Amino acid sequence: MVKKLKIWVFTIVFILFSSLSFIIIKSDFDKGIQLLTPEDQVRLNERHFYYSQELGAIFLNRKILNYYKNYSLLVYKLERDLFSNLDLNLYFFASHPRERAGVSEFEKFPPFLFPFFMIGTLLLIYWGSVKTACYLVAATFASTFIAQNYILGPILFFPLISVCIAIGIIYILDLITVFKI
Amino acid sequence: MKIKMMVIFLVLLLGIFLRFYKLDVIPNGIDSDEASQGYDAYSILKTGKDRYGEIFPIFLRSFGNYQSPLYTYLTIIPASIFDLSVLATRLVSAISGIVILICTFFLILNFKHVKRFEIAIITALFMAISPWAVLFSRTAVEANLALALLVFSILLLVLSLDKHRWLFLIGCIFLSLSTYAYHAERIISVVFLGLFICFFKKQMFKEKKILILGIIVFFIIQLPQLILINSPAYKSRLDQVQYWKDEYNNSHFKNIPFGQSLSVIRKFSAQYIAYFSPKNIFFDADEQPIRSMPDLSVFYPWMLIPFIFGIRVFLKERSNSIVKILFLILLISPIAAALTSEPFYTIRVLPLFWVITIMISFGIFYILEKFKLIYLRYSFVIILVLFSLVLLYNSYFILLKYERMKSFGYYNAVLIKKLDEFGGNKIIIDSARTNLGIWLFFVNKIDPSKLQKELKHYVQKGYYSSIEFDDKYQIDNIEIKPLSFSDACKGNIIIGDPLSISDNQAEGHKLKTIFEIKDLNNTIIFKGYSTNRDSKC
Repeated sequence: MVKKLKIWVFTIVFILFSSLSFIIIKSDFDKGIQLLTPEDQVRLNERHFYYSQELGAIFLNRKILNYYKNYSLLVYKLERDLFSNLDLNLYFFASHPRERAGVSEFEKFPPFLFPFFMIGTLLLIYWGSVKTACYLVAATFASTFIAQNYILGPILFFPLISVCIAIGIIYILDLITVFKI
Repeated sequence: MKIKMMVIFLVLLLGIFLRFYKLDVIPNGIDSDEASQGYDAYSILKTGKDRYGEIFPIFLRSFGNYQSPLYTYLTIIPASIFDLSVLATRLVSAISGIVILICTFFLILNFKHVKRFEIAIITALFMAISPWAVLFSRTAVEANLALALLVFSILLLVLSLDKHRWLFLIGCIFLSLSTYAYHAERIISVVFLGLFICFFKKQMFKEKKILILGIIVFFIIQLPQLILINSPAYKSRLDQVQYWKDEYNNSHFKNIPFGQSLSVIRKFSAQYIAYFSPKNIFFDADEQPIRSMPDLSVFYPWMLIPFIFGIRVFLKERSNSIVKILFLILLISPIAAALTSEPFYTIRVLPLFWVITIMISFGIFYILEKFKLIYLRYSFVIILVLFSLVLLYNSYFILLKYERMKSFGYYNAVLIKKLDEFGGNKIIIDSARTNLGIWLFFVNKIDPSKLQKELKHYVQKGYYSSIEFDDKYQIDNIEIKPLSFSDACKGNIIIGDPLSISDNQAEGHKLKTIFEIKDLNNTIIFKGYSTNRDSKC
């Protein structure tokens, strides 16, 4: 019975997660990843000079040049998008003190819930929850392709944050019950 | 044993190489704070006074920000050997980087674990190559010296817990000295000492005499600072960077009860948490170009994964005294930085990065333990180190060298050297955007006693009360001040950046371009004009 229920929960979460990821990526895909802006081009040209000065033949190798011209910026932008999802301030403090340019920031969760979130997160890390880790990896991967100026931010993280907050609150309530504070 | 010694030697060698290789040319140039520390050390070496003529000051007035003095005092030693130079100015920081490395190794060696040597060597290895550790060991950063003193005192305090109780006394001396190295340590050291005694009260109270003596020594060393606690010099830095006065006026907490307190709490929390945000510590570097390297934050992006495992190890080992101390430092160190308005100001939280590096190393060790085959473990570490070194070489030794030349004042130094060509002329340099005074003193090694006479009037109100800073200098034939139209008649040579004098103004005042200093992209940084006195005046 419990096993069946677990399978059902997993299936529902999987379907919800997949459909939500699909919808978000389709509607708010970061087109800037593939786009070479004039600033990018200037930077690439400048750095081409620096690298050729410092690395000489190593840099001017055909394969490295190909990577530099076609992929280095793409890797950088994907990395940037990936880490922009992992900003605690984005969720609890409207990205303050490092607000995103061109985005009207708002708090996705009230700041007073942050301590509970931290307790929940630390507990999940301590327990070594594989399922949570899988969800985190999947959400991070899917959110990497979403445009940075998407106003809601990486919404795939919201369920995970809510779980962490809930665990934190339950833990504190347990402490209160045990110690009869 | 021989192999262990060899591994230690290799890690140390790597650390030394990354900190001392081309120390005088990468970063290319010298920034104003570095030049100020270097010149003040030179001035004290030659005259016993700083550039404003104060005998062995407790805080250095510098640019009106009253820097902590220890770094400058220690720089006197390399300045006496290498004279006033970029290398001499950065040497204390580089040596501090090595001290941090060695102390961290010995600290982790005291960790109660069967494989403590392996953990200690991995920690030392990743401390040696961590971007923040390399970056701040290669510029004259007082915070790095403060961290070295803090880490050394933590090592002594840990050792004092087990058997050598007298080491507590020496630990207190170095802990107290760290407050003379950097502003943030004034808060970190005091809070840490108090909490350390509370956490380990059982061991501490066994030898009450040493405990009391340690606390007394700590406060005796603080006396010179405490005497100045009400002076503008002591408070000026906090006043310059605080946010609790101006923030309230613009915040949406304005019309609710306890609005100001809530606004400050929110701001403090946001600032505090920003120092733990994975985005900031693993990807998005400090915004100030002299405190970051291009495309790399304080840690390598891949370190996020071992960091999570490191947290797990720390939580599991939470009863260990070293882990307790590291947790303490982790929580205390962002407090001072969170009280200031700048977002993610890396220099203020070096102790935090030190603890995170140890956490990451523990995480790497945890991952390594999962590999059953020994050679797989070695290969994994070698791959990680090589990959990290490639990232570091790219960001620091190539991109930073070129892209941060302007921020590190390279062209300012070039301009000052250029002035030698116009020895007989009167030269006026615009100070509206960049004040070149400190580069003039540093590069030309201006006689300190002559400069002290020139700058004496700045501290007429009293050395520790003169917080107003006005950058106007007249040294021999060179005058540094904001340009005015009348200068076209007075001076022989006028120098400024492209915004100082437009082409139309130059034409109108009959100025003739005599030289241009351009960057690598051919953008003009400085322009020098000769004035046509006869036709205009």
